[in-house]
Amino acid sequence: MQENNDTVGLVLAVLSSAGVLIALSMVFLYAPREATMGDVQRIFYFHVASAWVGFLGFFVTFMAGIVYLARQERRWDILALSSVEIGLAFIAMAVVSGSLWARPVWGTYWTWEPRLTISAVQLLIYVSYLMLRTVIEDPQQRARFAAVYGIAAFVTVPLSWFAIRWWRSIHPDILTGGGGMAMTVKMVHTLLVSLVAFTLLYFTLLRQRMRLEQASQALAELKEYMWHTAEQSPQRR
Amino acid sequence: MSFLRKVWAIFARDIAAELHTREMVSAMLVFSVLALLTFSFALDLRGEMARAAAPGVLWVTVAFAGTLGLSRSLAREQQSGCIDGLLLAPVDRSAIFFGKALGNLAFMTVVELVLLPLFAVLFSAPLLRPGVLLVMALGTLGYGAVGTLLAAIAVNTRAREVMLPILLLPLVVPLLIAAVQATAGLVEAATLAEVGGWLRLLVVYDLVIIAVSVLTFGYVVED
Amino acid sequence: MPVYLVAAYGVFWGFTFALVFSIWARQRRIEREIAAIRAQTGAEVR
Repeated sequence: MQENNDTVGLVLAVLSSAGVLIALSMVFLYAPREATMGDVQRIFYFHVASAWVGFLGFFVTFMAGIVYLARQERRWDILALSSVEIGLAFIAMAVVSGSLWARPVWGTYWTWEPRLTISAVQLLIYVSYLMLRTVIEDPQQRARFAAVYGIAAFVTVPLSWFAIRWWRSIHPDILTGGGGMAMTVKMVHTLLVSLVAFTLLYFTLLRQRMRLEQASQALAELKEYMWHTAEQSPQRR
Repeated sequence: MSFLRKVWAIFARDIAAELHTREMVSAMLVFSVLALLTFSFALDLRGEMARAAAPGVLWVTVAFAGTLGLSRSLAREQQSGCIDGLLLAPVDRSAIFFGKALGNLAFMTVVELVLLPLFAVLFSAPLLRPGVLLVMALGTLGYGAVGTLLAAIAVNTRAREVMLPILLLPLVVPLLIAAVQATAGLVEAATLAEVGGWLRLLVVYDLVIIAVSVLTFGYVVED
Repeated sequence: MPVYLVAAYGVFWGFTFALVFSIWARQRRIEREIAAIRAQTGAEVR
Protein backbone atom coordinates (compact mmCIF):
# COMPACT_ATOMS: atom_id res chain seq x y z
CA MET A 1 0.00 0.00 0.00
CA GLN A 2 1.22 3.52 0.56
CA GLU A 3 4.06 4.48 2.83
CA ASN A 4 2.98 6.84 5.55
CA ASN A 5 6.00 9.10 5.04
CA ASP A 6 5.34 10.83 1.76
CA THR A 7 8.42 12.95 1.11
CA VAL A 8 7.28 14.35 -2.21
CA GLY A 9 3.95 15.32 -0.68
CA LEU A 10 5.67 16.98 2.23
CA VAL A 11 8.02 18.94 -0.01
CA LEU A 12 5.09 20.05 -2.15
CA ALA A 13 3.13 21.11 0.93
CA VAL A 14 6.03 23.17 2.25
CA LEU A 15 6.69 24.77 -1.14
CA SER A 16 3.07 25.66 -1.73
CA SER A 17 2.60 27.05 1.79
CA ALA A 18 5.67 29.20 1.32
CA GLY A 19 4.47 30.22 -2.13
CA VAL A 20 1.05 31.23 -0.90
CA LEU A 21 2.51 33.21 2.00
CA ILE A 22 4.91 35.02 -0.33
CA ALA A 23 2.11 35.75 -2.78
CA LEU A 24 -0.11 36.99 0.03
CA SER A 25 2.52 39.39 1.30
CA MET A 26 3.13 40.64 -2.21
CA VAL A 27 -0.59 41.21 -2.72
CA PHE A 28 -0.89 43.36 0.36
CA LEU A 29 2.57 44.89 0.73
CA TYR A 30 4.25 44.95 -2.65
CA ALA A 31 1.47 45.55 -5.15
CA PRO A 32 0.34 49.15 -5.42
CA ARG A 33 -3.11 50.47 -4.71
CA GLU A 34 -5.01 50.55 -7.98
CA ALA A 35 -5.96 53.95 -9.36
CA THR A 36 -9.67 53.57 -10.03
CA MET A 37 -10.82 50.70 -7.85
CA GLY A 38 -8.71 51.07 -4.75
CA ASP A 39 -7.85 48.23 -2.41
CA VAL A 40 -10.70 46.01 -3.61
CA GLN A 41 -8.68 45.39 -6.73
CA ARG A 42 -6.32 43.21 -4.66
CA ILE A 43 -8.88 40.43 -5.03
CA PHE A 44 -7.73 40.26 -8.65
CA TYR A 45 -4.52 38.29 -8.00
CA PHE A 46 -5.95 35.27 -6.22
CA HIS A 47 -9.12 35.48 -8.31
CA VAL A 48 -7.19 35.07 -11.57
CA ALA A 49 -4.92 32.45 -9.97
CA SER A 50 -7.94 30.34 -8.91
CA ALA A 51 -9.49 30.64 -12.34
CA TRP A 52 -6.19 29.49 -13.83
CA VAL A 53 -6.03 26.46 -11.54
CA GLY A 54 -9.65 25.68 -12.35
CA PHE A 55 -8.76 25.58 -16.01
CA LEU A 56 -5.54 23.66 -15.38
CA GLY A 57 -7.47 21.02 -13.47
CA PHE A 58 -9.83 20.67 -16.39
CA PHE A 59 -6.93 20.27 -18.80
CA VAL A 60 -5.37 17.57 -16.62
CA THR A 61 -8.69 15.72 -16.51
CA PHE A 62 -8.91 15.98 -20.29
CA MET A 63 -5.44 14.50 -20.79
CA ALA A 64 -6.00 11.83 -18.13
CA GLY A 65 -9.21 10.84 -19.88
CA ILE A 66 -7.44 10.38 -23.20
CA VAL A 67 -4.72 8.27 -21.62
CA TYR A 68 -7.28 6.22 -19.71
CA LEU A 69 -9.20 5.39 -22.89
CA ALA A 70 -5.95 4.42 -24.56
CA ARG A 71 -4.53 2.33 -21.72
CA GLN A 72 -7.48 1.34 -19.52
CA GLU A 73 -5.27 1.71 -16.43
CA ARG A 74 -7.14 2.71 -13.29
CA ARG A 75 -4.61 5.26 -12.06
CA TRP A 76 -5.46 7.62 -14.92
CA ASP A 77 -9.08 7.61 -13.86
CA ILE A 78 -7.95 8.35 -10.30
CA LEU A 79 -5.97 11.29 -11.66
CA ALA A 80 -8.98 12.55 -13.64
CA LEU A 81 -11.35 12.34 -10.69
CA SER A 82 -8.92 13.97 -8.28
CA SER A 83 -8.20 16.79 -10.68
CA VAL A 84 -11.92 17.48 -11.08
CA GLU A 85 -12.47 17.74 -7.37
CA ILE A 86 -9.54 20.10 -6.82
CA GLY A 87 -10.38 22.07 -9.95
CA LEU A 88 -13.98 22.42 -8.82
CA ALA A 89 -12.95 23.96 -5.52
CA PHE A 90 -10.73 26.48 -7.29
CA ILE A 91 -13.18 27.42 -9.99
CA ALA A 92 -15.80 27.94 -7.27
CA MET A 93 -13.33 30.26 -5.53
CA ALA A 94 -12.88 32.11 -8.80
CA VAL A 95 -16.60 32.58 -9.32
CA VAL A 96 -17.34 33.67 -5.75
CA SER A 97 -14.36 36.01 -5.53
CA GLY A 98 -15.26 37.43 -8.93
CA SER A 99 -18.75 38.10 -7.66
CA LEU A 100 -17.45 39.75 -4.49
CA TRP A 101 -15.17 41.92 -6.61
CA ALA A 102 -17.98 42.89 -8.95
CA ARG A 103 -20.24 44.18 -6.19
CA PRO A 104 -18.20 47.16 -4.96
CA VAL A 105 -16.78 47.95 -8.39
CA TRP A 106 -19.89 47.66 -10.53
CA GLY A 107 -22.67 47.68 -7.96
CA THR A 108 -23.97 44.24 -8.88
CA TYR A 109 -23.10 40.77 -7.61
CA TRP A 110 -23.18 39.28 -11.07
CA THR A 111 -22.03 40.52 -14.42
CA TRP A 112 -21.78 38.53 -17.61
CA GLU A 113 -18.18 39.54 -17.93
CA PRO A 114 -16.38 36.98 -20.13
CA ARG A 115 -13.89 35.64 -17.56
CA LEU A 116 -16.53 35.30 -14.89
CA THR A 117 -19.00 33.71 -17.28
CA ILE A 118 -16.54 31.15 -18.63
CA SER A 119 -15.62 30.25 -15.04
CA ALA A 120 -19.29 29.71 -14.28
CA VAL A 121 -19.64 27.48 -17.34
CA GLN A 122 -16.61 25.43 -16.25
CA LEU A 123 -18.07 25.17 -12.76
CA LEU A 124 -21.27 23.72 -14.17
CA ILE A 125 -19.37 21.27 -16.34
CA TYR A 126 -17.40 20.09 -13.31
CA VAL A 127 -20.64 19.55 -11.43
CA SER A 128 -22.15 17.62 -14.34
CA TYR A 129 -19.03 15.48 -14.52
CA LEU A 130 -19.25 14.58 -10.86
CA MET A 131 -22.98 13.91 -11.14
CA LEU A 132 -22.28 11.56 -14.03
CA ARG A 133 -19.83 9.58 -11.93
CA THR A 134 -22.43 9.29 -9.17
CA VAL A 135 -25.03 7.59 -11.35
CA ILE A 136 -22.87 4.85 -12.83
CA GLU A 137 -22.26 1.75 -10.76
CA ASP A 138 -19.78 -0.30 -12.71
CA PRO A 139 -16.28 1.13 -12.07
CA GLN A 140 -14.93 0.47 -15.55
CA GLN A 141 -17.97 1.95 -17.23
CA ARG A 142 -17.81 4.91 -14.87
CA ALA A 143 -14.19 5.56 -15.75
CA ARG A 144 -14.85 5.19 -19.46
CA PHE A 145 -17.92 7.43 -19.57
CA ALA A 146 -16.29 10.04 -17.37
CA ALA A 147 -13.25 10.05 -19.64
CA VAL A 148 -15.42 10.56 -22.74
CA TYR A 149 -17.38 13.33 -21.06
CA GLY A 150 -14.24 15.03 -19.80
CA ILE A 151 -12.78 15.03 -23.31
CA ALA A 152 -15.94 16.28 -25.04
CA ALA A 153 -16.51 18.93 -22.38
CA PHE A 154 -12.98 20.27 -22.46
CA VAL A 155 -12.92 20.86 -26.21
CA THR A 156 -16.00 23.06 -25.90
CA VAL A 157 -14.38 25.36 -23.34
CA PRO A 158 -12.17 27.38 -25.75
CA LEU A 159 -15.14 27.64 -28.09
CA SER A 160 -17.34 28.86 -25.24
CA TRP A 161 -14.68 31.40 -24.38
CA PHE A 162 -14.70 32.93 -27.86
CA ALA A 163 -18.48 32.83 -28.12
CA ILE A 164 -18.92 34.55 -24.78
CA ARG A 165 -16.29 37.18 -25.56
CA TRP A 166 -17.83 38.09 -28.88
CA TRP A 167 -21.28 38.07 -27.35
CA ARG A 168 -20.19 40.49 -24.64
CA SER A 169 -18.38 42.75 -27.10
CA ILE A 170 -21.56 43.25 -29.08
CA HIS A 171 -23.63 43.88 -26.00
CA PRO A 172 -21.30 45.45 -23.51
CA ASP A 173 -22.81 46.02 -20.11
CA ILE A 174 -23.75 49.63 -19.71
CA LEU A 175 -22.73 49.17 -16.09
CA THR A 176 -19.35 47.52 -16.47
CA GLY A 177 -18.35 48.92 -19.85
CA GLY A 178 -14.74 48.16 -20.70
CA GLY A 179 -13.71 47.47 -17.12
CA GLY A 180 -10.58 49.53 -16.91
CA MET A 181 -7.78 48.43 -14.66
CA ALA A 182 -4.34 50.01 -15.01
CA MET A 183 -1.72 47.23 -14.80
CA THR A 184 1.68 48.23 -13.51
CA VAL A 185 4.86 46.15 -13.46
CA LYS A 186 4.55 45.38 -9.75
CA MET A 187 1.05 44.06 -10.38
CA VAL A 188 2.36 41.75 -13.07
CA HIS A 189 5.00 40.41 -10.65
CA THR A 190 2.39 39.83 -7.96
CA LEU A 191 0.11 38.08 -10.43
CA LEU A 192 2.88 35.77 -11.65
CA VAL A 193 3.86 34.82 -8.11
CA SER A 194 0.21 34.15 -7.29
CA LEU A 195 -0.12 31.93 -10.34
CA VAL A 196 2.96 29.92 -9.39
CA ALA A 197 1.84 29.62 -5.75
CA PHE A 198 -1.62 28.40 -6.72
CA THR A 199 -0.19 25.94 -9.23
CA LEU A 200 2.01 24.45 -6.51
CA LEU A 201 -1.03 24.32 -4.25
CA TYR A 202 -2.95 22.50 -6.96
CA PHE A 203 -0.29 19.82 -7.30
CA THR A 204 -0.03 19.43 -3.53
CA LEU A 205 -3.77 18.93 -3.16
CA LEU A 206 -3.94 16.76 -6.27
CA ARG A 207 -1.38 14.38 -4.84
CA GLN A 208 -3.22 14.15 -1.53
CA ARG A 209 -6.55 13.56 -3.24
CA MET A 210 -5.06 10.84 -5.44
CA ARG A 211 -3.57 9.07 -2.43
CA LEU A 212 -6.94 9.28 -0.74
CA GLU A 213 -8.63 7.72 -3.76
CA GLN A 214 -6.07 4.94 -3.95
CA ALA A 215 -6.58 4.18 -0.26
CA SER A 216 -10.34 4.27 -0.71
CA GLN A 217 -10.20 1.80 -3.58
CA ALA A 218 -7.76 -0.42 -1.74
CA LEU A 219 -10.17 -0.51 1.20
CA ALA A 220 -13.09 -1.39 -1.08
CA GLU A 221 -11.08 -4.21 -2.60
CA LEU A 222 -10.08 -5.44 0.83
CA LYS A 223 -13.71 -5.52 1.95
CA GLU A 224 -14.70 -7.40 -1.17
CA TYR A 225 -11.92 -9.87 -0.64
CA MET A 226 -13.15 -10.47 2.87
CA TRP A 227 -16.74 -10.90 1.75
CA HIS A 228 -15.51 -13.42 -0.74
CA THR A 229 -13.49 -15.43 1.78
CA ALA A 230 -16.28 -15.17 4.38
CA GLU A 231 -18.67 -16.67 1.85
CA GLN A 232 -16.33 -19.51 1.12
CA SER A 233 -15.76 -20.47 4.74
CA PRO A 234 -19.05 -19.84 6.56
CA GLN A 235 -17.92 -21.42 9.79
CA ARG A 236 -15.37 -18.69 10.34
CA ARG A 237 -17.38 -16.39 12.60
CA MET B 1 -21.62 -4.88 -45.65
CA SER B 2 -19.89 -1.64 -46.45
CA PHE B 3 -19.67 1.24 -44.00
CA LEU B 4 -22.21 3.40 -45.81
CA ARG B 5 -24.67 0.56 -46.08
CA LYS B 6 -24.41 -0.05 -42.34
CA VAL B 7 -25.03 3.63 -41.66
CA TRP B 8 -27.99 3.59 -43.99
CA ALA B 9 -29.35 0.42 -42.42
CA ILE B 10 -29.37 1.95 -38.94
CA PHE B 11 -30.75 5.24 -40.20
CA ALA B 12 -33.50 3.62 -42.23
CA ARG B 13 -34.51 1.40 -39.36
CA ASP B 14 -34.94 4.39 -37.03
CA ILE B 15 -36.94 6.31 -39.64
CA ALA B 16 -39.13 3.31 -40.32
CA ALA B 17 -39.77 2.75 -36.62
CA GLU B 18 -40.72 6.37 -36.19
CA LEU B 19 -42.94 6.46 -39.27
CA HIS B 20 -44.75 3.49 -37.83
CA THR B 21 -45.62 5.06 -34.48
CA ARG B 22 -44.87 8.77 -35.05
CA GLU B 23 -44.83 9.11 -31.26
CA MET B 24 -41.44 10.76 -30.91
CA VAL B 25 -41.80 13.52 -33.47
CA SER B 26 -45.33 14.29 -32.35
CA ALA B 27 -44.18 14.47 -28.74
CA MET B 28 -41.37 16.83 -29.76
CA LEU B 29 -43.81 19.00 -31.72
CA VAL B 30 -46.43 19.18 -29.02
CA PHE B 31 -43.75 19.96 -26.46
CA SER B 32 -42.33 22.71 -28.66
CA VAL B 33 -45.67 24.41 -29.13
CA LEU B 34 -46.37 24.22 -25.41
CA ALA B 35 -42.92 25.62 -24.67
CA LEU B 36 -43.57 28.44 -27.11
CA LEU B 37 -46.83 29.23 -25.36
CA THR B 38 -45.23 29.08 -21.93
CA PHE B 39 -42.44 31.44 -22.97
CA SER B 40 -44.93 33.86 -24.46
CA PHE B 41 -46.98 34.01 -21.26
CA ALA B 42 -44.07 33.92 -18.85
CA LEU B 43 -42.06 36.63 -20.61
CA ASP B 44 -45.10 38.60 -21.76
CA LEU B 45 -43.89 38.58 -25.35
CA ARG B 46 -45.74 41.05 -27.46
CA GLY B 47 -44.79 43.39 -30.27
CA GLU B 48 -41.20 44.53 -30.37
CA MET B 49 -40.18 42.38 -27.42
CA ALA B 50 -41.52 39.33 -29.24
CA ARG B 51 -39.36 39.97 -32.28
CA ALA B 52 -36.28 40.54 -30.15
CA ALA B 53 -36.91 37.41 -28.11
CA ALA B 54 -37.74 35.18 -31.09
CA PRO B 55 -34.25 33.80 -31.82
CA GLY B 56 -33.60 32.96 -28.18
CA VAL B 57 -36.98 31.36 -27.57
CA LEU B 58 -36.66 29.45 -30.82
CA TRP B 59 -33.30 27.95 -29.94
CA VAL B 60 -34.17 27.12 -26.35
CA THR B 61 -37.31 25.37 -27.59
CA VAL B 62 -35.33 23.46 -30.21
CA ALA B 63 -32.72 22.51 -27.61
CA PHE B 64 -35.24 21.12 -25.12
CA ALA B 65 -37.33 19.39 -27.77
CA GLY B 66 -34.08 17.95 -29.06
CA THR B 67 -33.24 16.38 -25.70
CA LEU B 68 -36.63 14.65 -25.76
CA GLY B 69 -35.96 13.13 -29.13
CA LEU B 70 -32.36 12.20 -28.35
CA SER B 71 -33.24 10.43 -25.12
CA ARG B 72 -36.08 8.54 -26.73
CA SER B 73 -34.02 7.49 -29.71
CA LEU B 74 -31.17 6.09 -27.63
CA ALA B 75 -33.49 4.52 -25.08
CA ARG B 76 -35.22 2.69 -27.91
CA GLU B 77 -31.84 1.38 -28.97
CA GLN B 78 -31.14 0.08 -25.50
CA GLN B 79 -34.50 -1.60 -25.15
CA SER B 80 -34.33 -3.42 -28.46
CA GLY B 81 -30.80 -4.61 -27.71
CA CYS B 82 -29.97 -4.31 -31.37
CA ILE B 83 -26.69 -2.57 -30.70
CA ASP B 84 -25.12 -5.75 -29.33
CA GLY B 85 -25.80 -7.48 -32.62
CA LEU B 86 -24.25 -4.62 -34.52
CA LEU B 87 -21.04 -4.50 -32.52
CA LEU B 88 -19.09 -6.97 -34.61
CA ALA B 89 -16.05 -4.98 -35.67
CA PRO B 90 -14.49 -1.66 -34.61
CA VAL B 91 -15.56 -0.01 -37.86
CA ASP B 92 -19.13 -0.62 -36.85
CA ARG B 93 -18.90 1.76 -33.89
CA SER B 94 -18.68 4.90 -36.00
CA ALA B 95 -21.26 3.50 -38.39
CA ILE B 96 -23.64 3.18 -35.44
CA PHE B 97 -22.84 6.72 -34.43
CA PHE B 98 -23.48 8.16 -37.88
CA GLY B 99 -26.62 6.09 -38.34
CA LYS B 100 -28.10 7.18 -34.98
CA ALA B 101 -26.95 10.78 -35.36
CA LEU B 102 -28.44 11.10 -38.84
CA GLY B 103 -31.71 9.73 -37.53
CA ASN B 104 -31.73 12.20 -34.66
CA LEU B 105 -30.88 15.02 -37.06
CA ALA B 106 -33.77 14.01 -39.30
CA PHE B 107 -36.25 14.09 -36.42
CA MET B 108 -35.01 17.45 -35.20
CA THR B 109 -35.18 18.85 -38.74
CA VAL B 110 -38.78 17.73 -39.16
CA VAL B 111 -39.71 19.48 -35.93
CA GLU B 112 -37.83 22.63 -36.94
CA LEU B 113 -39.53 22.72 -40.34
CA VAL B 114 -42.85 22.96 -38.53
CA LEU B 115 -41.60 25.35 -35.86
CA LEU B 116 -39.97 27.96 -38.07
CA PRO B 117 -43.12 29.09 -39.90
CA LEU B 118 -45.02 28.96 -36.63
CA PHE B 119 -42.47 31.19 -34.93
CA ALA B 120 -42.32 33.51 -37.91
CA VAL B 121 -46.05 34.08 -37.66
CA LEU B 122 -46.39 34.29 -33.88
CA PHE B 123 -43.38 36.53 -33.33
CA SER B 124 -43.72 38.56 -36.54
CA ALA B 125 -40.10 37.79 -37.22
CA PRO B 126 -38.70 37.18 -40.72
CA LEU B 127 -37.33 33.74 -39.91
CA LEU B 128 -37.96 32.12 -43.27
CA ARG B 129 -34.76 33.37 -44.84
CA PRO B 130 -32.03 31.20 -46.41
CA GLY B 131 -29.52 32.62 -43.92
CA VAL B 132 -31.65 31.52 -40.98
CA LEU B 133 -32.10 28.11 -42.54
CA LEU B 134 -28.33 27.80 -42.82
CA VAL B 135 -27.92 28.69 -39.16
CA MET B 136 -30.61 26.18 -38.19
CA ALA B 137 -28.84 23.49 -40.20
CA LEU B 138 -25.41 24.19 -38.70
CA GLY B 139 -26.77 24.42 -35.19
CA THR B 140 -28.83 21.26 -35.46
CA LEU B 141 -25.87 19.39 -36.90
CA GLY B 142 -23.62 20.11 -33.94
CA TYR B 143 -26.39 19.66 -31.40
CA GLY B 144 -27.42 16.33 -32.89
CA ALA B 145 -23.86 15.03 -32.95
CA VAL B 146 -22.91 15.83 -29.35
CA GLY B 147 -26.46 14.97 -28.29
CA THR B 148 -26.19 11.48 -29.76
CA LEU B 149 -22.91 10.86 -27.96
CA LEU B 150 -24.17 12.12 -24.60
CA ALA B 151 -27.54 10.41 -24.92
CA ALA B 152 -25.71 7.13 -25.44
CA ILE B 153 -23.94 7.80 -22.13
CA ALA B 154 -27.06 9.00 -20.34
CA VAL B 155 -29.27 5.99 -21.10
CA ASN B 156 -26.62 3.74 -19.57
CA THR B 157 -26.75 5.46 -16.21
CA ARG B 158 -29.01 4.88 -13.25
CA ALA B 159 -30.71 8.22 -13.80
CA ARG B 160 -31.18 7.55 -17.53
CA GLU B 161 -32.71 10.32 -19.63
CA VAL B 162 -32.66 12.79 -16.75
CA MET B 163 -28.88 13.01 -17.14
CA LEU B 164 -28.99 14.12 -20.77
CA PRO B 165 -29.86 17.81 -20.27
CA ILE B 166 -27.37 17.97 -17.39
CA LEU B 167 -24.59 16.62 -19.56
CA LEU B 168 -25.58 18.35 -22.77
CA LEU B 169 -26.44 21.93 -21.94
CA PRO B 170 -23.06 23.11 -20.62
CA LEU B 171 -21.40 21.70 -23.72
CA VAL B 172 -23.64 23.48 -26.23
CA VAL B 173 -23.05 26.96 -24.79
CA PRO B 174 -20.94 28.10 -27.77
CA LEU B 175 -23.44 26.64 -30.20
CA LEU B 176 -26.42 28.31 -28.60
CA ILE B 177 -24.72 31.69 -28.32
CA ALA B 178 -23.54 31.60 -31.93
CA ALA B 179 -26.85 30.33 -33.30
CA VAL B 180 -28.97 32.85 -31.42
CA GLN B 181 -26.70 35.76 -32.28
CA ALA B 182 -26.55 34.81 -35.95
CA THR B 183 -30.32 34.32 -36.13
CA ALA B 184 -30.93 37.61 -34.34
CA GLY B 185 -28.60 39.41 -36.73
CA LEU B 186 -30.27 37.91 -39.77
CA VAL B 187 -33.73 38.77 -38.46
CA GLU B 188 -32.58 42.38 -38.15
CA ALA B 189 -31.72 42.26 -41.86
CA ALA B 190 -27.98 41.73 -41.50
CA THR B 191 -26.17 40.14 -44.42
CA LEU B 192 -24.54 36.73 -44.23
CA ALA B 193 -21.17 38.42 -44.27
CA GLU B 194 -22.05 40.41 -41.20
CA VAL B 195 -22.90 37.33 -39.16
CA GLY B 196 -19.95 35.50 -40.73
CA GLY B 197 -18.05 35.36 -37.46
CA TRP B 198 -20.86 33.46 -35.78
CA LEU B 199 -21.23 31.13 -38.76
CA ARG B 200 -17.53 30.36 -38.66
CA LEU B 201 -17.79 29.59 -34.95
CA LEU B 202 -20.68 27.22 -35.67
CA VAL B 203 -18.71 25.45 -38.37
CA VAL B 204 -15.66 25.07 -36.13
CA TYR B 205 -17.85 23.83 -33.28
CA ASP B 206 -19.53 21.30 -35.57
CA LEU B 207 -16.24 19.99 -36.93
CA VAL B 208 -14.63 19.68 -33.50
CA ILE B 209 -17.61 18.11 -31.80
CA ILE B 210 -18.33 15.66 -34.62
CA ALA B 211 -14.68 14.57 -34.59
CA VAL B 212 -14.68 14.06 -30.82
CA SER B 213 -18.03 12.24 -30.92
CA VAL B 214 -16.93 9.88 -33.67
CA LEU B 215 -13.64 9.14 -31.95
CA THR B 216 -15.13 8.47 -28.52
CA PHE B 217 -18.48 6.89 -29.36
CA GLY B 218 -16.88 3.46 -29.62
CA TYR B 219 -15.81 3.65 -25.98
CA VAL B 220 -19.38 4.41 -24.94
CA VAL B 221 -21.09 1.48 -26.65
CA GLU B 222 -18.42 -1.15 -26.09
CA ASP B 223 -19.17 -3.81 -23.53
CA MET C 1 -14.76 48.46 0.36
CA PRO C 2 -12.52 46.45 2.68
CA VAL C 3 -15.49 44.22 3.55
CA TYR C 4 -15.48 42.67 0.09
CA LEU C 5 -11.72 42.31 0.07
CA VAL C 6 -11.77 40.53 3.42
CA ALA C 7 -14.73 38.40 2.35
CA ALA C 8 -13.00 37.37 -0.87
CA TYR C 9 -9.83 36.34 0.92
CA GLY C 10 -11.99 34.60 3.49
CA VAL C 11 -13.42 32.61 0.59
CA PHE C 12 -9.95 31.63 -0.68
CA TRP C 13 -8.83 30.46 2.75
CA GLY C 14 -12.18 28.93 3.60
CA PHE C 15 -12.49 26.83 0.46
CA THR C 16 -8.85 25.75 0.59
CA PHE C 17 -9.06 24.70 4.22
CA ALA C 18 -12.41 23.01 3.66
CA LEU C 19 -10.84 21.00 0.85
CA VAL C 20 -7.74 20.13 2.86
CA PHE C 21 -9.85 19.18 5.88
CA SER C 22 -12.22 17.10 3.75
CA ILE C 23 -9.34 15.12 2.27
CA TRP C 24 -7.71 14.69 5.67
CA ALA C 25 -10.95 13.58 7.34
CA ARG C 26 -11.71 11.02 4.64
CA GLN C 27 -8.16 9.71 4.80
CA ARG C 28 -8.46 9.29 8.57
CA ARG C 29 -11.75 7.43 8.24
CA ILE C 30 -10.23 5.01 5.76
CA GLU C 31 -7.17 4.42 7.90
CA ARG C 32 -9.42 3.72 10.88
CA GLU C 33 -11.46 1.22 8.88
CA ILE C 34 -8.35 -0.55 7.67
CA ALA C 35 -7.00 -0.71 11.21
CA ALA C 36 -10.33 -2.13 12.39
CA ILE C 37 -10.29 -4.82 9.75
CA ARG C 38 -6.69 -5.65 10.53
CA ALA C 39 -7.50 -6.01 14.21
CA GLN C 40 -10.57 -8.11 13.44
CA THR C 41 -9.03 -10.67 11.21
CA GLY C 42 -5.29 -10.19 11.22
CA ALA C 43 -5.64 -10.18 7.45
CA GLU C 44 -2.79 -9.08 5.24
CA VAL C 45 -3.38 -5.59 3.90
CA ARG C 46 -2.36 -5.64 0.27
